[in-house]
Amino acid sequence: MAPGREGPGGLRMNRSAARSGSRGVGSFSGDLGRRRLRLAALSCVILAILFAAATVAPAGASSSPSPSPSVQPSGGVSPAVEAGADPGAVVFAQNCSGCHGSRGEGGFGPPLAPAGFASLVIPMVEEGGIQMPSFSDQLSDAEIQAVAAYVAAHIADPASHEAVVSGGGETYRLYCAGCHSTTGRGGALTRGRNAPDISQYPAAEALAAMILGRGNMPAFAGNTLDVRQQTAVGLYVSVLVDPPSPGGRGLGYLGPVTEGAVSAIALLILIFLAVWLAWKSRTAAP
Amino acid sequence: MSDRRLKQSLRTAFGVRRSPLRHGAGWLDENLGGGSGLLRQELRHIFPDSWAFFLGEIALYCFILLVVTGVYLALFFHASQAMVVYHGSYQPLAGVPMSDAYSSVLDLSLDVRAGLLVRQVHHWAALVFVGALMIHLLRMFLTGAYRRPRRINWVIGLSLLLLAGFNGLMGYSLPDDLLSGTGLRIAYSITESIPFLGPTMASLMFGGQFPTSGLIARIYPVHIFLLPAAIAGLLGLHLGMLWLQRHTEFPGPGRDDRTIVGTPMVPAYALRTTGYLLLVAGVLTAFGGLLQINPVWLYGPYNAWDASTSAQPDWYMGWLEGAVRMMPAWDIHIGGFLLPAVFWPAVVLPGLIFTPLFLWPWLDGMALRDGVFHNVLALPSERPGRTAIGAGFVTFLTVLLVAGGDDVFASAFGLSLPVLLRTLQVLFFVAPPMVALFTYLIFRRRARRWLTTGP
Amino acid sequence: MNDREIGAHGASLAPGGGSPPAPGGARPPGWPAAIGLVVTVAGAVGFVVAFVANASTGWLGGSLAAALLGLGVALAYWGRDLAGDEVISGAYPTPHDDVPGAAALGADLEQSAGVITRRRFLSRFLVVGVGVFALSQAVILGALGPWPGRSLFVTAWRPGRRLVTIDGVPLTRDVLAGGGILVAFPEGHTDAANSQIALFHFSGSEFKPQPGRETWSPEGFVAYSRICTHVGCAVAQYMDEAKVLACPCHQSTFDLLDGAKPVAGPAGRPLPQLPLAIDPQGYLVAQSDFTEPVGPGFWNAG
Repeated sequence: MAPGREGPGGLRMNRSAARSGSRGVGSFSGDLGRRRLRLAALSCVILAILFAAATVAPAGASSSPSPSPSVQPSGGVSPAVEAGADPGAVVFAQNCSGCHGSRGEGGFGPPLAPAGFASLVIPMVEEGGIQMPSFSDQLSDAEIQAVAAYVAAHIADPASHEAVVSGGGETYRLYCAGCHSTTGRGGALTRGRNAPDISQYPAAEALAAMILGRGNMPAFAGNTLDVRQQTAVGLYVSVLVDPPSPGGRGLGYLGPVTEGAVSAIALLILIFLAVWLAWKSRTAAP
Repeated sequence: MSDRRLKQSLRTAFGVRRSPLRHGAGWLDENLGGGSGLLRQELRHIFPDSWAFFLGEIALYCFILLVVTGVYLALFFHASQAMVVYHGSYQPLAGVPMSDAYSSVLDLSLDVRAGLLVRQVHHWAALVFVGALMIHLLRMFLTGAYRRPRRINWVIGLSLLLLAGFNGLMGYSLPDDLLSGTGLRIAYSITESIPFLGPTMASLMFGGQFPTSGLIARIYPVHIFLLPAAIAGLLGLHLGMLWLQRHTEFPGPGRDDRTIVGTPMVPAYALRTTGYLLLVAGVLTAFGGLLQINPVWLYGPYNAWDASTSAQPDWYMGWLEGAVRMMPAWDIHIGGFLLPAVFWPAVVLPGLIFTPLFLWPWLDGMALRDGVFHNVLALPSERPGRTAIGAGFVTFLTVLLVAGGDDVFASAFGLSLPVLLRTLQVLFFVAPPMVALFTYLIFRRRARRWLTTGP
Repeated sequence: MNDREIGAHGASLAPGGGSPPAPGGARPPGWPAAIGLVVTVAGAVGFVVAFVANASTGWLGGSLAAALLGLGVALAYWGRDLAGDEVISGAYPTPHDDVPGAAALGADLEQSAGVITRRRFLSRFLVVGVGVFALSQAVILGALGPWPGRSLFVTAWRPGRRLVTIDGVPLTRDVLAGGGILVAFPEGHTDAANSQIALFHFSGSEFKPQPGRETWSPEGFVAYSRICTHVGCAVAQYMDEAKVLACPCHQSTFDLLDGAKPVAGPAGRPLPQLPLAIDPQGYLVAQSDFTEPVGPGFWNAG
């Protein structure tokens, strides 16, 4: 989950373009050579300008400790955007659309139809996922909130807003708990594989895996789970990331194995107390 | 002014003639009649001292704690699988249809003050109860406490262990959650696997084909009344025989098979054992308050179409689970009939384990040609063969126990599950004899040294 | 049974009460017990306060535990250190290996019970009668539940019954277009635990129908019973690349492309396959019930 360094729209310098002149395919000697040299230099300059524009623009949108008063309050947005545009839309267009599509329809990244709740989007943007970089360095908190609200309101399928956590739990126990356990801590599968501990990832990562599939994990899209159910499962997974433990320390949420091991500690404590109790009083004569 | 003078003057002031204790004892004597002589004698009942003799008390006090907390739980639990819709305070289950039993456990845990504390103390006490029984049994075994005249008491004690384990299984199945419900399905299938009678037995015991709608209601009276009554009755016999025969003692000065040396019941022993009761209750209450156990709201209600990985029974059934996991798929087809492979680890193996255990005092007596009365214990080093067998048996159970949690261990320690399982299958045969041999060699040397130079 | 005091380990309790003076030293201090009792009172008060204030389980349990431990330490310390180190000896009950003793008991018993034992035929009849009566009561157990009959061989699937999801939505031929898994039930019986199936959609080339079952998988749709044939858990682990269905309980693994035969783990029988068809309206339906019992094996499953 290392934060990516280049923006999604970034261009890379094509080194072979600059080197072909010295390869001998076209030398720079003679009249033809001088023309080639001019052409090469011009293309280098154009490429340099484009490259600079690509790297400077996202840098302009990244958070600065004290934004200058001439830019919008959400912080460092490119002045090319017209005043009054939804800041969330702007952030989305600049940061998210490259992988998720301009309307969130998906591409390299999964479709955002089930991302109907800001609570699902925000941790994903902040922490990143397996195939998604973290944006906490490039976007301010306000921008992250804005893009989350934008996704929930405009990008997500309206059916996703009908999702209910408890419905997600029922779906989770039917389709997911078999591999990831009811507490989400994962477990050993057959053939030496393991289903991962999904509490280690933001809930939206579970959404992405659910929609696209991942390795041996099947895709739960199409007719298996509709958008509302997918969102609900995502909401339920958010609960499992840090489950309520009103009974005290959670002991790892691995079930009776750890509970049995801990009960052995209780027994040892009691045996220790018995040893203390049966110790001959030190004031008695031997 | 000294204590005594103060007391005397207070007594004179309030017209009290005798101390409360004397007053109370006198009242008892006048109203019971004839028993005061026996009681007076038993005030000085002798208890030999050793930390090892507290192990049975751990079990006894866990049982008392289980009964006390259990009564409280029974006031809230609904032993019914009638479907209700949950409307309690736990949002991730809001509106979910579930059985009344599961819903009542959620209500008790999450919406009744101190409800979760009592429930967790009850569950921790159950785990420690069976553990203490096993350790107590092990101590009996290693010190030869089962020898005449305590053979029958050994059988009673072993029965108590079986009843306690079985009652625990019933108890954690009552909430009708996904984890324990899966265990009930497995129990049903194991019963089904018995040749010829299996499907009929399973249907009669469970009330139909699994899942039945009356299973929790059937388990309930077994768990809260039938088995605790059986345990209490056997416990009474167990303690009664212990009282009459007197407790065994470790060898030492002034001690032999005819002479018991120890602490009198009143005052020292009574104080210590009452203190220990409170210490056991206190430790288990601390665990019940600070360490979460069996969070059924995370497991969800039982549905036959749900399943979870990392599913184990409570630890004391882990050996059975391990045996089931390790058994290869060796179904036997005889004519038109099927003997499922699970019959061997789940039905035959427990019989093979418990039958020699029950018969052990007689087997041991025959092997050692030892039928005399023993009141002095044998140290483990005195009988290296017995100690080696005990060590081998403990190793055997440990391998099974680890196998019972194999998927959790594999994912927690990053091991490959098939490799771990294969290793455990090999250890099942190899480890117990190796440990037994090793123990024998160590203790034989110790025994020789002990016999020549003394303890 | 006379008790004797050894006297080597200190004197017995003084008649007036209080702890005995230890030989050669000061009395053990009483303050540890006092501290224990103070903790008890504090814990008890704390428990009441925590209860009234609806505090968390940790506070409730911690305060109650403190109260119990405080009292326990006080009494245990009292019994261990303050009550004197009195050690006394007595006699174990006389062992009865003396044969005359046991024989005498036997003779007495025989004499008093002679009214029964002297009439040999009648007393044997008594034993037989009581035994038969006792055994006859076992028949009551036969009404504890229904007798299985054919129930283990029948599920809720019928010819032409549609496949539906757990929410009752019927399934058509365009489900699972992108692969994956669906849990399905017979229409109208979404609570029939023994009828649950796992539905897949495989391409014609990868899936090999079992001999005699070529018509059971129309357009590549395959359905297997979802109850493990080992000990009955729901077979809930679908591994998409390996095309196996595995059971989370004991890791039985079934090869979905080869008739759900067990390829690993303790299950011995393949998952029964449900014969499927597609009706004229395009819905997935069952051709009939399963042709073998679902779930774990039993004696007459054959």
